[in-house]
Amino acid sequence: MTPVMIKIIAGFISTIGFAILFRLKPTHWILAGIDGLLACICYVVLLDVFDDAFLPNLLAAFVGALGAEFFARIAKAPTTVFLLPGIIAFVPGGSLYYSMSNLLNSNYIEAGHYLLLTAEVAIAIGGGIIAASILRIIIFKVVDAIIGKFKRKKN
Amino acid sequence: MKKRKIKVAKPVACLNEQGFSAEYILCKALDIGENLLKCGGEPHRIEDTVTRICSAYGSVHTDVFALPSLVIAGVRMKDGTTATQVRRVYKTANNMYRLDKINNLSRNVCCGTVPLEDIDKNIQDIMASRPFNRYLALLGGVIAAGGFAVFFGGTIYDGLAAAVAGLFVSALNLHKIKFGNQMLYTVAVSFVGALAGLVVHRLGLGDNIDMIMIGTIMLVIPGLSFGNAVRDLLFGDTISGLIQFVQAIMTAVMVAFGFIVAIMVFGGVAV
Repeated sequence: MTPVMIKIIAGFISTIGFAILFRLKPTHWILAGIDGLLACICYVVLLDVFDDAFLPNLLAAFVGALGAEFFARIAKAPTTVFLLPGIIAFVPGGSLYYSMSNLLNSNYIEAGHYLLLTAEVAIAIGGGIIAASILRIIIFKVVDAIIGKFKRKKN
Repeated sequence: MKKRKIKVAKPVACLNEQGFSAEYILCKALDIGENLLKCGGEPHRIEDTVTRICSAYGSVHTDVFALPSLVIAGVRMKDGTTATQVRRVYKTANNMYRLDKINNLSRNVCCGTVPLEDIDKNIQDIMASRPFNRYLALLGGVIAAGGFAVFFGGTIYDGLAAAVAGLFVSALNLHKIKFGNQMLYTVAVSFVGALAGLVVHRLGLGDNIDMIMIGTIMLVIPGLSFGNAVRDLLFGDTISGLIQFVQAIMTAVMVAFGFIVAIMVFGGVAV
C-alpha cells in the first residue's frame, strides 16, 4: 500500500461518510462514493504532478462534477445529490480553518496567506463545477440533435 | 436514452382546468420552492422549479428571486390577474433524500400527475420521511472524520482518534440543542469536537494531534458552502453567492474560536 493509495481509499471512505451525513438514499451511497473516488484519484495524482493548488483542484472538481451529472442521470436524481459528497474531499476546509485560527492568534501574514489559498481553491472548484455543467448542456444538445435526426430519417 | 428523458411541462399546455386563482397557484408553487430551499437546494433550482410550476398552470409571466433565506415570486395570469408572495426561510440543512423527493414531486406537478390540491399532503409526508434510522448518521460522522484525518496525511491511529471525536460532533448534531443562535451553536459544536480530539490524543490514541484536529474540523467547517458561494458568484447569482460567502467566513471564524478556546482550556497545544 503506497501512501497515494491509502489517501485515495481514505477519500473514498470519507465521501461515503458525507453521503450519510447529507442523508442520501442508501442505494445512492455507492454511486456517490464512486464519484468521490474518481475525483480523489484525479486530485491526488495531479497534486503529485503539479506543485500549485489551482490546476489539481480545478480538474478534480471538473471530474467530480461531471461524474455527478452522469450519476444523476442514471439515478434520476438532482445533480446536487452526488455533487456535494463528490467534491467534499478537497473543499478548502483546512485552509479556511487555518486562516481564521491564525487571524484570531494575530498571525496576520499567515492568515492572509491561507485566506488567499482558500480563495484560490474555491475559485478553482467553482470553475470546475461550472465547466462541467456547461459541458453537460452541450453534450445533451448534441445528443438530442443526433436522436432527432435519426427519428426524422425513420419517418 | 429516450426512455430516461425527463418530462418537462410545456408552457403551452395549460393544466389549469379547474380555474385556480393566481394566489392559490403561486402559494402552492412557493410551498414546493420553500421546502426545496429548506432541504438545501440551490437558489437557481428554486427559481427554475417555481417558474415551471407556475407556467404549467397558466401563468404568462413569472418572476422569481431566491436567496438562501428568502423567496420572492410574482405571477401574471392570462386573464390579467396578478399575485405576489414572499417566503422567509430561517433554517436550511442538507437533506438530499428529501430534496430528491420534492424535486420529483415538482416534476409530477408539472406533468399533471399530482393535482395541485394534493401538494400539501405530499410535502408533509416527504418532510416527515427519513432515508434510514437517524442514528446511522452517527456512523457517517465517524467514518467521515476518520477518513479525512487519513486523507490529509495522518496515520491509521490518527484516523481512529478523529473518528472518536467525530462521534461526539455528530452526536451533538443529532440532538439539536436549542441555542437560539446558529453562531453560538457552531462555537459549542467545535468546542466539543476539539476537546474530544485533545482528550483522545492525551489518552494515547493517535500520533499527530494536528491531523486528528483537521479530520474533526472538516465536519464543522463550511468549506463546501465556500465552494458553493464561489460557484454561485461565477454563475451570476451575485447576491446569494455573497450571502453564502459571508456566512461561510463567519462560521469559519466561530469554528476557529471554538477550537482555540478548547485548546486554551486544555493547556496550549499548538495546532
